[in-house]
Amino acid sequence: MYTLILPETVEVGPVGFSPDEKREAFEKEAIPYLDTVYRVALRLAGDSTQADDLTQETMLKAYKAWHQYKQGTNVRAWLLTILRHTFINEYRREKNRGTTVDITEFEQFTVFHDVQEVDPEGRFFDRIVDDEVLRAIDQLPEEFRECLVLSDIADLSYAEIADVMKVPVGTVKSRLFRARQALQRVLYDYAVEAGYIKRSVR
Amino acid sequence: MTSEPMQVDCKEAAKRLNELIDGELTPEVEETIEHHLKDCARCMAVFEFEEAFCRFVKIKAKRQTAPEGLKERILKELGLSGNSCNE
Ligand SMILES: [Zn+2]
Repeated sequence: MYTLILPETVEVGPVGFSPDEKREAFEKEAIPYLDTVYRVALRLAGDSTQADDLTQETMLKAYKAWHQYKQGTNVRAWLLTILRHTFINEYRREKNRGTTVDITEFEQFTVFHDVQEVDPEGRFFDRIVDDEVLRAIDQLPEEFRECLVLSDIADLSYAEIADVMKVPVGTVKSRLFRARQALQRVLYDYAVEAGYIKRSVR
Repeated sequence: MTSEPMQVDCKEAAKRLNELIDGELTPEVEETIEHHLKDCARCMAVFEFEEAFCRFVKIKAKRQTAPEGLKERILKELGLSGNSCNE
């Protein structure tokens, strides 16, 4: 078997596919995930101008490389692999963007233990607005944020996330667990400050 | 009916809650954890809390949509009509 290596700029469809068919397939299978790609781009890049560019570049690259997409595999995972690659190579310049929470300082305990007396169902979370949740996600260290975003925004499986991030599934599992735990803690502290829930004395 | 399901303690169950929520357990392990939750009100309460939290995060983090101008720009660049833009 030969692997045909083509310059990035040459547009080719799979053998036997006309440009029209390629366009139709891309429109049907990839374009519906434009919003997902954009949401992930926003959380990785951290600002909307960069997220716009990153989204556009991802979709254009995906279109050019459409012949490499394996039919029947998760197209979201494929698009997000391109997105992540583009982000790391072309966008991630300043390492420091805003505050990052130190994930190691979090106790590995669920907030449930703090709220079980007053709000065991965690209803106070529902009072927290979208923007505050997104801000809290953005405070997670990058490798934890990526895991959480690929799981909870893009709905990828652990195996797919491992594939996109090129780390073992076990790493995905533990990062996702810790990311959720930290996010929970940050949002709980926020809810206490906002007066949505009383801090319990432990 | 004949074979007793595998047993786990609270500590082990707690470690598997994320995987249970995400549907990442094998059917046997899933059954084992669910069996424990049925018998253990405390673990069940934690599970329901974690599940509610995950649901909450997914909903809140998925409400943004790509700006219309960006969508149009991309479709135009690709020469697409844009009839299938909604998820
Ligand atoms: Zn238990």
